Amino acid sequence: MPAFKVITIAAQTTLSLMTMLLFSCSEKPADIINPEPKKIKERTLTIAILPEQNVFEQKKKYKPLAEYLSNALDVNVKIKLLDSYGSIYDEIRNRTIDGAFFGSFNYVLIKERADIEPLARPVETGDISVYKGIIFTRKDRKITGNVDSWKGRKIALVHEVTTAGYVFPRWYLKKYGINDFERHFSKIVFTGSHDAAILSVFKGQTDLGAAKDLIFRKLLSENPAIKNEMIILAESTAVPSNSLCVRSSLDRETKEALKNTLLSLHETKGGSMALQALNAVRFKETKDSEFDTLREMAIDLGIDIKTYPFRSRR
Amino acid sequence: MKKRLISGLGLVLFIFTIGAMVVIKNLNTIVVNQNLINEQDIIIGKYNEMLFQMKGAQAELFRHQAGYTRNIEDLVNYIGMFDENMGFLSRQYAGHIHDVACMQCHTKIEERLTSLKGIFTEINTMIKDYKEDVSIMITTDDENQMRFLESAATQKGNTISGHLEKIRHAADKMRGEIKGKRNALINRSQIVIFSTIFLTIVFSLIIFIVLIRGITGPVNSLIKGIQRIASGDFSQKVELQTKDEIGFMAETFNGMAERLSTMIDEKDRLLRTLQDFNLELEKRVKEATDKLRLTQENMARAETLAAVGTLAAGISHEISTPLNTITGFVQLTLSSLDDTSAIKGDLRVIEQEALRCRKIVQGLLNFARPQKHEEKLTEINGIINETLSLIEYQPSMRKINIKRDLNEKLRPLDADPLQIKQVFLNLILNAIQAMQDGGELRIVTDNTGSGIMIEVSDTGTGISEGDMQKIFQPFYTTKKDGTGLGLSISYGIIKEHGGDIYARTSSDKGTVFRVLLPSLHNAGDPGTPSPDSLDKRG
Repeated sequence: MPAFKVITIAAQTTLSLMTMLLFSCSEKPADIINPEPKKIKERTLTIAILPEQNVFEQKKKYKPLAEYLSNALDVNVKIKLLDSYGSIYDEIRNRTIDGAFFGSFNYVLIKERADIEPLARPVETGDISVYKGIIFTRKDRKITGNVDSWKGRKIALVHEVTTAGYVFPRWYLKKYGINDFERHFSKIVFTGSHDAAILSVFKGQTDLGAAKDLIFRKLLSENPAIKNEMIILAESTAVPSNSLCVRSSLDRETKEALKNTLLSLHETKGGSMALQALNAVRFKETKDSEFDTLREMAIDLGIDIKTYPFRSRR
Repeated sequence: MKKRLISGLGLVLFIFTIGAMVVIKNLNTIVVNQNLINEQDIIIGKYNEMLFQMKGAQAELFRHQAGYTRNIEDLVNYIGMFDENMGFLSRQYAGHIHDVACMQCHTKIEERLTSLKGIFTEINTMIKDYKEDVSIMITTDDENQMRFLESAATQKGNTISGHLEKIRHAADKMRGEIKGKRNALINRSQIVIFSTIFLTIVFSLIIFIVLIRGITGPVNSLIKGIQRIASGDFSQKVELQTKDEIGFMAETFNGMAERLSTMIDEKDRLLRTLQDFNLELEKRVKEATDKLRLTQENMARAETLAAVGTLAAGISHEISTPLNTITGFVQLTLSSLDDTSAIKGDLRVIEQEALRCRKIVQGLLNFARPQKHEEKLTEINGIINETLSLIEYQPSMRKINIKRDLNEKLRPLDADPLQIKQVFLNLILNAIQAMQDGGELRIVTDNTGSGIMIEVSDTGTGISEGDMQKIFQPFYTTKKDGTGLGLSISYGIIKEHGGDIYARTSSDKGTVFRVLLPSLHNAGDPGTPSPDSLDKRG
């Protein structure tokens, strides 16, 4: 056989085999992700999160922010989930936390008893940095905005130290002449979180519910089935969204750095991602005076904010 | 040879490449399988983690519900990590759901993965409900709701754990299957590797041996051929059937040897031609020299004869008159004397000697003044027979055997028959005189290319070398009573006829005279036929 022919056949066979090799079983399984070990930092800054909605969602929501702040401030920013709105006071008092995203009424109450400072709060799309308390029901309950129609019904509230989940419905009923809030309903259920209150109504466990409009709308947008079944009966005036407040005893540099970082969060890529998780576009400064409306509402209700009890879970 | 080397190298490389490719392919498959096993190990690890996380979450939940702790971090973290692992596994399996490579070995992989996807979806749904239940349960103050949710969450957690154990078992089974396949592949690969190495070595050796033989065989043949040719044997050829460089070299070498052989043959031929030419040249030079010498001799003889003739004519004329006077007075005296006279005898002697002198003078005159030459068509055989008839009855002929070898078809020629007869008579008489004790007289006639040839030979005593040089000179004779003019006259007659005369002698064989005469019937000159070994004299 001539040399050329031998070489040609050899080359053809080699190419075929190479092609076979390339296209057979050559794909490797997906790489196993080995995350980089986290840098161990000297200081820890513990920020508490209220269980205003599903605690797992809360954790997921605030985790990117904690990570960003850890890197930006070079401190170990730890998110602490609280199981109750009432427990925040104990945590502040015991200095087990350095700060927290306070609910507005929570802030008003604690501000009177502990030395805390508001720093900033997230601003959602549409420049929304406030929320309203809402009272809602299922459409099929045939309940109207007339508070008389609410009588004898079961209502789902969040907690005694929440604006939307307790103060507003009380204020609203009082506004319509119903002073004995507890007796107007056949049963009051404190669900502990806003979404739990909404779900309680949706599932028919209660007839009415009170919660934050922001959480209500978010839950409805994520669950079309709920959206079609629910109806809002009343809305409160706007109060500041949950703001990050810190202990005043915290060193000034940390407070300043934390505030500045939050206010410039939207300017960085990592910050933008953290904002995205919070469903926000930026942070804005929160001032104590912004809570005056709520303080007046408490006065209207006859609530002594200096002595109002923090009811912890059980 | 280059082609062979390239072919051999190509073949070895081909075998090696195939072997290497097979090995690489197997290694690749083994690596892929090993990666799959590693992946499976990680997946199983993840299942274990998830089981631990789920059980940890359940325990944390219980502790929280029982009031042992207010901390829900661990619970949330457990579920968070569970979620992360779930997401990781979902992505991991989703990455293989349409994996063609996986399907090559695992025919039911898609079916399995689809089934797994269903379980994952169920777990995801359950974990979502679980989280919702747990979250509400943690925050609610409603005792009934709390109990209900606690029971529901526990049940869901257990179901999830059950599912996890089920799929962990399936993953473990799959890992076992992959491991089995990997081990089988390793065994097979080992066999393939060893076989490939063995085959590569064997083929390499075979090709090496074939190549070495292919190189050394023709080279040795070429060397032998070169040695044979170097020793001068150009008839041998280097016999190679190969079509490679060595074959080409052998072919070229054969061509060169062939050309060399042709050149040597040509050289030999030219050498032989040159030698022949030399011989011919020498021969011709010799002939030319002989001819020149003969011519010179002839010229000298002719001059001598002319001088002798002139001298003889003068002397003869002067001597004839006194001789005639002597003869006349002697005869007159004799006639006047009686027969008894005492001086009569002496006078007769004087008369005889005077007559002999007159005869000699007459001969000289005949020589100096040739007789009248009258040519006519003459039959030489007839003249020879007439001449022989004149002498055959002489007493000296009794001991001599005459042998005639006459060509009956001898060409006639234009000649003077009397002069020719005189020539033959001289030659025959000389021959007879040479055979005093008997012998054989042989006369031969024959046609030649341009005339005729007559040989007169005897078996007598022959002529000495010194005499041979002078036999045609006038007055030279070895006989007591000879005049020394017979052969000189014969030579002159033959020359006058345009012919030639040669003589050859030997002491034991006798003498041969050869006469060549041109035929009148032939065009041109009678030429000078080669006398062969006869010496030309004259």
